[in-house]
Amino acid sequence: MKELKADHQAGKISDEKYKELSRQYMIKLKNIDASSRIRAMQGRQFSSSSKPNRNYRPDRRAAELSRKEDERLVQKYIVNPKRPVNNNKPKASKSNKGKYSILVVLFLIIAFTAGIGFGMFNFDFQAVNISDASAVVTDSAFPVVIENNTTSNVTSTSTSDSSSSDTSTATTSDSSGSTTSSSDTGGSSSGGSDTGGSDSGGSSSGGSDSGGSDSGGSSSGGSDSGGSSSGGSTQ
Amino acid sequence: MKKSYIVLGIIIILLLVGAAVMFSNHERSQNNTNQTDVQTVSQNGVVLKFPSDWVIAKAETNDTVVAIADSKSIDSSSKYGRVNVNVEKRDLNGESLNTFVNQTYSSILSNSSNQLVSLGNSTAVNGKEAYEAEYLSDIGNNTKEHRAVWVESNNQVYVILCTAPQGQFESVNKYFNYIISNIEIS
Repeated sequence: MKELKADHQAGKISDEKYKELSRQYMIKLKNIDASSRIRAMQGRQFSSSSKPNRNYRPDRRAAELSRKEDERLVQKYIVNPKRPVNNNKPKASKSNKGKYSILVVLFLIIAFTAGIGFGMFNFDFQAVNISDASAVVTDSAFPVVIENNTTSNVTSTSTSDSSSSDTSTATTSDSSGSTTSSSDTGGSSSGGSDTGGSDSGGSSSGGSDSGGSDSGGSSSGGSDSGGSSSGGSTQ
Repeated sequence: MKKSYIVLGIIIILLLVGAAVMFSNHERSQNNTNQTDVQTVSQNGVVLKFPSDWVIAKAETNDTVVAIADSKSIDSSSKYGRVNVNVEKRDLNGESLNTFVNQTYSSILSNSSNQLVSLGNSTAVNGKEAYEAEYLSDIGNNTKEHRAVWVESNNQVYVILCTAPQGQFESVNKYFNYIISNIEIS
């Protein structure tokens, strides 16, 4: 470029020719610069033609080879960048992806099968709901204990009539009261509320016994309808 | 190729599920007493298995965990189930089961309407030591026979009280045996 400029200033070449030649040299310089960058990306050393040392006079053959290689590199990566560098990797990754997906699907199938099977075997389809009660039970294994010498014909007549629910609440409250007095153990009940002799159900003619307290029984005094228990209405 | 694997996998899963359903239904139909299907109820840590012609009952006692009754024994007006099983629970409060049971029946038998038939050890219930008592209660010319099985779990006493009219007790005792032997207390 310097030589060209010197020639132009000396008048050896015309302006048009100078412009044409300088344009061509600029293009080649840019190509050399691009090729040196490509070499750097590839981890190769700079070509002898791209060395910044301007005083260096390359061997003609080496320079020619280097120039050709630079042009090849520019042509390959900049002008016509068509094919990728490595053609083998996509195919390999595709096959690995397929295998992994099949394995994942297989694992999911096995997991779902195991879970569904376990659930089916352990689920009880015939379990009933506790709220669907259609009967009444009044028998109790715990003795009914009375406090303050009162006896409660606990369930003597309560369940005999259809409105058992009403009376039953009363009897329930009564029995619960009495049992608390006995601190809900069998022993204390015998020692506690029976002091008056009105032992649990003993005094009641209907025998609202501690074991039974069922319906349709004594109802002798008709005592039980709620208030009787506390009032000791049983005779 | 991938789609075919997925479709095949789904078909296999459906076949397995269908086979599991059929197998479980077949197995369940084998679990019966005297050719009767079995129902299950779970309440407050107690799982009870009973014949399908029995029903869940509402108990009038505060200590009840779950109660069932034979549907054929239900009084039409009062809805009282004459043949019933009432599972109750109470705290032991540090007492031993043996002491608790003895004190309970001391109190029960203090009532002349009650008559003890037997009291002693029972076969293990739910893998635990149990006591069993049988007694009669006579209320207004209605004599009932009771069979109570006592078992301890987590410092609480569970009692399975089986009740039936005295004349009917022997015929329904097989159901009581089944219920007691299949109870689960957690």
